Amino acid sequence: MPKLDARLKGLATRLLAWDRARVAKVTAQGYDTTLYSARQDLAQASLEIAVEEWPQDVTFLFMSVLEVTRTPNTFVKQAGVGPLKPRVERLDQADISAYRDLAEALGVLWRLMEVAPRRWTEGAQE
Amino acid sequence: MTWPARTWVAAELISATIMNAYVRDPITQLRSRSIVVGFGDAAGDVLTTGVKAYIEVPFDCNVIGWTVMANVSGSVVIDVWRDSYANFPPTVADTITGSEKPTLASAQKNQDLALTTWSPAIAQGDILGLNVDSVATIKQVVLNLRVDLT
Repeated sequence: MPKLDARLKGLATRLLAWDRARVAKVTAQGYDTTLYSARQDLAQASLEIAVEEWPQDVTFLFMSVLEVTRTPNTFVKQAGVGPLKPRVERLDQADISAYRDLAEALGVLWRLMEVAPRRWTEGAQE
Repeated sequence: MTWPARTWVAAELISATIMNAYVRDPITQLRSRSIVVGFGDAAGDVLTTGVKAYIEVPFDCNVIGWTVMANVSGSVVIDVWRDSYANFPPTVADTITGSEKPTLASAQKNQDLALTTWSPAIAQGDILGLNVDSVATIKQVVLNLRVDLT
């Protein structure tokens, strides 16, 4: 697999920014998040290399973030962190398509379909 | 399937997909076992019919498939009998193989990994008896029972 194209890299960057915002809140509560922050840094750096060379921790980091942000308005309420995009509480069709394409590019689509099939099948709606 | 070493760290997301990858999958793999029994001598005589081995199974499990391999191409039908240690020895009345007895028919290997007619449950401590119902040409055979712990 090659490097992520610009569209998927853009989504991955937004997902990582969302995750950093989430972790910043955890850090502010006094937790030592050094190790996880380092993993996020590694994830950021991995965006510049071919997906097949990504460490598994990085792939699974994105897998988790894809999963929990797939219904952002719900997650915002539960986690108390900001939405994925400013003033957007629901994903539009382009977002949904990009989510699925990124999951496929990372080789984790089957895992996401396994836990939430309605969200991840082709042509899924928000 | 992968089985990576994993250290959880503060602030890490715990999602369903992560749990499946790092908890369910390794447990599933741990559940898989093989019960392997071989008998005969490739340098000896052709096998004869009758009971060839008894083995004690030290865990609860379900048989999910079998593989038979022989020293040469030939034919053999093996029956598997199961009974408790208290009732040893198992007899033909204790067969668990249904209509899917481990079989070679003019072949050196055969496999059935989708058993439907076996009585698959084996309890810890049960005794299995392996009986050769019929045989031709083969001097040595190995029966591998694929089981899942229960």
